[in-house]
Amino acid sequence: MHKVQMVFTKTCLYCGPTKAIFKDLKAKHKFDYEEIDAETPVGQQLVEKFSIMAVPTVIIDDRVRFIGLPPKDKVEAILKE
Amino acid sequence: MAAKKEEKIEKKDYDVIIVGGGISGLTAAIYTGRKLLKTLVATVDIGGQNLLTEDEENYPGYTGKSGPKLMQIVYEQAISFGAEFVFGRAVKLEKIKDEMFKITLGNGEEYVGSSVILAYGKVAKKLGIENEDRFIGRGISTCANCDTPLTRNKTVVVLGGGNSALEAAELAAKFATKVYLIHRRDAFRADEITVEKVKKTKNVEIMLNSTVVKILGDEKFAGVVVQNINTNEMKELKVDMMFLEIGQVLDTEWVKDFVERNKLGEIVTNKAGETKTSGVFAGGDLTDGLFKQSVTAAGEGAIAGLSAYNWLMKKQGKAAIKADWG
Repeated sequence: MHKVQMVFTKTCLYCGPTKAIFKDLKAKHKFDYEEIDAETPVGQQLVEKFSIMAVPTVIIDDRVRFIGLPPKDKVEAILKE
Repeated sequence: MAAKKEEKIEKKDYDVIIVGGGISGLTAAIYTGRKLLKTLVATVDIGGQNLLTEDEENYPGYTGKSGPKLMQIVYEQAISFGAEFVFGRAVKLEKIKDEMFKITLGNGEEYVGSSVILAYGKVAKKLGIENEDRFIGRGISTCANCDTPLTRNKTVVVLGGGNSALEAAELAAKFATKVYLIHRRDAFRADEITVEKVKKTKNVEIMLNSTVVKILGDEKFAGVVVQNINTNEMKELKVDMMFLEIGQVLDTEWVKDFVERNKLGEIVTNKAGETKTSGVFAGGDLTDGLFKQSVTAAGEGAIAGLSAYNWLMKKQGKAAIKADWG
C-alpha cells in the first residue's frame, strides 16, 4: 500500500485544495495518508530530510513527488501503480 | 435549473463556472448556489489574498482577525450551497456552440458552462531573470506566509520594499538565522511602524538601492548575485532560499478576447459586473473597481453571481430579479 505524506503550513495557499484532492482520492483508493504540519518536530524532520522549500509538498513512498498544488490525475496514476 | 446536456460533456456541464477561489469567487458561489445554479469553482487556491493576512480587522461581522479562518468559513458556506470545486489554473476561455463557454485548465481538463464569472484576483509578480521559474518551489518562494516556517536555521533573501516584503522579512527572521532584505529604491514603501520594527530586528541586514540580477545554482538553488544600482557593484550571497515580495500583477491576457481592459490591465465591468461579452461577468481585485478590499471584492462577487443568475433567467425567457425585496 502506498504511503502518502502531505507537508503543509497553516497559512499555505495551496494546502487546502491539496487536502481536498486527497479527501476525494481517499474515497476511491486505499493508501496510508498523513497530513504533517511543517512547524511540528516531525514536520521539521521531513523538511530537513527532503530539503523541503515550499508547501504543500507531497511525499509518496519516501520520495518527493509533488511541490505545490498536485494534479489530481497524476497523483491518482501513482496511487494505481 | 439544469444546464442543457450533451452526452459527452454531461458531467462537466455547469450553469456557471467561477474562476477563482478568493473572497470574490467564493461569495459569487454562495449567491449562485443559493439560486440553485449548478456551480463550479475552478481555482488554484482557497482563500486568495485573505490567506496572507492575520490582521483581518475591517471585514464586517468577523472579529476573528485570521484571514485563513475567515476563508475557511466562506469556503464551507459555498460548499453548503452546492458549489463544486476543481483545482488548477484556468488557461483558456472559449465560446462554443449553443452560447456555452469552455474553460480549460493547465492540466488539460475542460469544463463547460452557460456563464462564466472571472474572480481570480492577482498573481505574484516575478523578477523575470534566468533560472527563476526552475527554482520556484525549490528555493524561490512567492508566498512568504506559506513557506517561512521552512526556513528554520537557514539564510534567506527577501526581495521587495512594500508592506508584504517587510512583513515577510520580519516573519522569516523568526525562523532563519540571517535575512537579507533587498530593495531597489533608497527607502521602503512600507508603513513606518513596520519598517522600524524590521530595522530593529538583529538578524535582518538591509540592502537598499540593490536588486537581484542573477540566480546561482545548477541542480540546487545556491544563492543570488546582488547589484547595487548606484555603484553597479556586484555581491554574491550564498543563501538557502529567496522570497519574492515585489508586488502582484494581473493576468488577464488569456481572457482578452472576451473583456475590455483598462490601461492597468483590469477588466472593465459595469455596475452589474458585466463585461463586454454577454454571459461573462467579473468581480474582485481584477476588475476596474475603485477599491481593493475584501468586503468590496465580496460585494462584487455577489453582484456578479446575481447578474449571472439574471442573465440565465432572461435567456430562458423568465423574469430576472431586480432586488431581493422587490
